[in-house]
This record gives sequence, structure tokens and C-alpha cells, in this order.
Amino acid sequence: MTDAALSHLDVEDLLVELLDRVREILNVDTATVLLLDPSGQQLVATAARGLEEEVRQGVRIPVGAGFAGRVAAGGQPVRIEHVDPTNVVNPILLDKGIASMLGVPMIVAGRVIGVLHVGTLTPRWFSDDDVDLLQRVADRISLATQARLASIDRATTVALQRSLLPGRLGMIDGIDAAARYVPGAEVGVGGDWYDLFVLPSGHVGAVIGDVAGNGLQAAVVMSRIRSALRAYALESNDPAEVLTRLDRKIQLFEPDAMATVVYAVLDPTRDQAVMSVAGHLPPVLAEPGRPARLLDVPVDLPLGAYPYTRRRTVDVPLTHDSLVLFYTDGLIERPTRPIDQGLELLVGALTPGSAERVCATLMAALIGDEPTKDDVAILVLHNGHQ
Amino acid sequence: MTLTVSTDRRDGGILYLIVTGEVDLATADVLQQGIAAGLEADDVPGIVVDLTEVTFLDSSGIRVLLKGRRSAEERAKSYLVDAPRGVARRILDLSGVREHLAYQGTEGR
Repeated sequence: MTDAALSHLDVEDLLVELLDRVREILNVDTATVLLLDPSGQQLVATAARGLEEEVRQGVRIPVGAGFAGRVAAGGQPVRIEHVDPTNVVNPILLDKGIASMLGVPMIVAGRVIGVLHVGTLTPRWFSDDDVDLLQRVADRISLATQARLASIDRATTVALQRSLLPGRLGMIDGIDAAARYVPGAEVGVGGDWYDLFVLPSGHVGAVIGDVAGNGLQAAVVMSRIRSALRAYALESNDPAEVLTRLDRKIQLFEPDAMATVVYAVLDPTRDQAVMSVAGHLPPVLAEPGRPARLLDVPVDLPLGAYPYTRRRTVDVPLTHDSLVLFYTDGLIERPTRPIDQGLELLVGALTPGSAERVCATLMAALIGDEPTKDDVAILVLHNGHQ
Repeated sequence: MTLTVSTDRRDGGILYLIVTGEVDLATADVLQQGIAAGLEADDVPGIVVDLTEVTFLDSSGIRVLLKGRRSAEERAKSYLVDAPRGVARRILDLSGVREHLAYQGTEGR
């Protein structure tokens, strides 16, 4: 079977095809792939031939325990001539009457990603040639699996970002709003996000944030933080209180995560915004007849940094026709210039106009045709189109 | 896109991590491993992360520095991020974290 013919298959289908080949070549009764779960602590039966119940029952083997667990922990092949309860933990192997087994690690870039094992119903001593052959097959399967999983991760991440970040905001309760999200050239889709919502009280919440990290993991954490923020926003109009609760939630449930956020609450008359800033770059305000400026906001620690962080707010008066710009560091940070130069460029590029036009102008001025390494999000609010 | 972390023992065993280059998503792990190795070594009473020669620092780098301080606190070791000037200092100031990146451990245990 050629790689091209395999290329359209899902991971499980791909593995099942390859396992059938393994059974033929080695003349064995069962062939199974277990992949390491994201925690790195457990092997999960992902594809099996001859032992399909392993997959159907969702067999999980702790790394270090049992037969497959020993293969993964040692990163070395393991042979068992006589299977019995002292050398395997999985009751399915005993129930099926598996007599002999051979398992090899699946390794990509020096890291164990899973285990491939085969078994026979009649006793057999697997030769060194058998071990070499199975290891070569495992190496091929590992690469194919890793590539497939990575491409599924990328597609899922993009889909998740798309579902969470509406491209077009338009008029929201008297506010003309627009936003952009661009994945980074080097890191792909990451953890940046923006949000804008009307609360039952008539207040409007505006959010920009950046979850450290990239890929599916960062996007998933971002989606949880984004919805938790919305939930807390329903309970309080004080942005510092909302971020305090959100921080507490992250400390407990996402101990490895860290996120920077600006949360702004616009009052129902739209003549003031109250903001709280968690480790994020300051928003920019442009009022008619005055040069745009970075807001002088007190910056508290990012979410997830330390427990019980004190959070402050600042009141920002909003005049008619003023613009507020929220952005993530990917917009201004470049290895080739100091950050202050990026901030100056940004402030200089912010000129009055509709939110959509401002977004387009800013992206052209700050990014142009140059790919950014980090992802970029911006949110522009244009006040006073009642 | 390069980052190097060199180490030096000074002042009663304090481990200095001299960081040079760009700290970003691709390189932050290198810094994290340097900090973790220093904090895990039994004979290191504390570490100083010197960012003077850093030319780029983004949110993934800030995360590593903050996690380092938390981990130092858990191990009761002193921790200081030294960014007297330059790119790193400005970014740490803008992010509101610079004053939080020092911890006085229980030295001389």
C-alpha cells in the first residue's frame, strides 16, 4: 500500500490497515497500537486487529505497568514467551488465550508516542529478526501517526478559533466594532482572542486576551477562559472583580496556564469605560481633535501568575466619536525593532474612521506584507453611532 | 531566532543564568529548563536570571519567568530577574510584572 493511498485515512483507519499488514508479515494472531495520552501517563488502545475489544472497551494501561507499560517506560522491545497474570495486567489478553507477545516502542524524535505489540495464540519465541522487523514497522507507523495527529490538531485548532472569533462584528448596541485575527507564520494559530458582548444591564463588555502557548492546547485553554469570563461578566459589572474570579478559576483548574487580558466594561450611556488590565499591553484611545495616545492604565499581573493578586480598575471617559483599540503583542513586537517604536507606529497609525476602516489601516501599517511570528488579534470600538 | 543561556556561580553559590538573544514561543523552553535545573539543584541557594542581553521577549517568555518565581517560592530559594535596561526591562514594565519577579528565599539553609 502506498503512502498516497494511505494519506486520506483517519488515524484509526490508517493504523488498522497497517496492522493487517503486520499480522500477515509476522504471521501473528493479534496486532495492537496503543498511543500515549496527552498526560503522558497512560497508553490508550487506539487500533487493534484480532483484539478489537481492546479498542471498543477503551483499554488504558499505565506507563510502567503491565506489558505495554513496560515497553513504553523502557523505550525497548519486550518479549513474553508465556503470557500469565504476573507479566500482563490487561485481562483481555488472558481471556483471549494469548500465549506469546512481542512489543516495541513507537518513537518520534527520541520521544515514545506509543506501543505496537503483536501476539500469538500458540506459544512462540519471537526471534531477533522478528524484533527488528516489528521495530522497523513501528518506526514507519510512528511517523505516519504523528504527522496525521499533527494535521488533525492544526485543523481542529483553526476550526475552534473560527467558531469562537466571529470575523464580522458590525454595530453592537450603538457601538461600531471591528476585529482581526491572524495566525502567526511560525507558531500557527495560538491563544489570542477578542470578545464583545452586551450584558442584560445594558453595559457592553469588551475583551482582548492572549493565552501563552500555541496550537490546540492554547486554543482549548483560551476557549475555556473566554467562556468563563463571559459567565463572570454576567455576575458583576466591575472588571477587576470579573478578572479576580477568572484568575481564581485558572489557578485551580488550569495551573499551567497563563493569560494576559484587558477587560473593559462600557456603561449603558457609553460615556465611560471601566477597564482592568492583567499583564496586557495598554489600549490606545483616539478622540476627535486630539492625537491618539496609549492609555495610562495600572497593569496588574497576568491571570494564572500568582494566587490572590490585587486587581485595579481605571475609568476612561469616552467622548462622542472616540475610538478605543485593543491589541495583542504580536501586532507590535518584532525582533527587528524596539517595542516603543512599535507602540509609536501603532499610535501614529490610529486615525479616526469607521471601525472596519481603522482595522484595515492598522493591519496595513503594522503588518503590511510581512508575516509575523506570533499570532495577532485586534479589536476596535468606535463610540457614538447611536 | 536563537537563544543561549550560560551559567555562572557567584556570591555564595547563587546561580546566574545569562540569557542572550530572543525569548519567544520557540525558545522559551530553553530558558524554562535552565531555570528549572537551577532551582532543582540542591547546592544552589538561589538564582539570578540576567536579561540584559535579551533582544526580544514575548508573552511566552514572561510566563516562564513568572512560573520560575513561583517555583522558587515553593522551594524557598531566592529568585531575581535582572533587567537593568533594554528590551526586556521595557516589556516587563509594560506587562506590570517586573516588580513581582524577585523573591527572597531562606538563604544559608
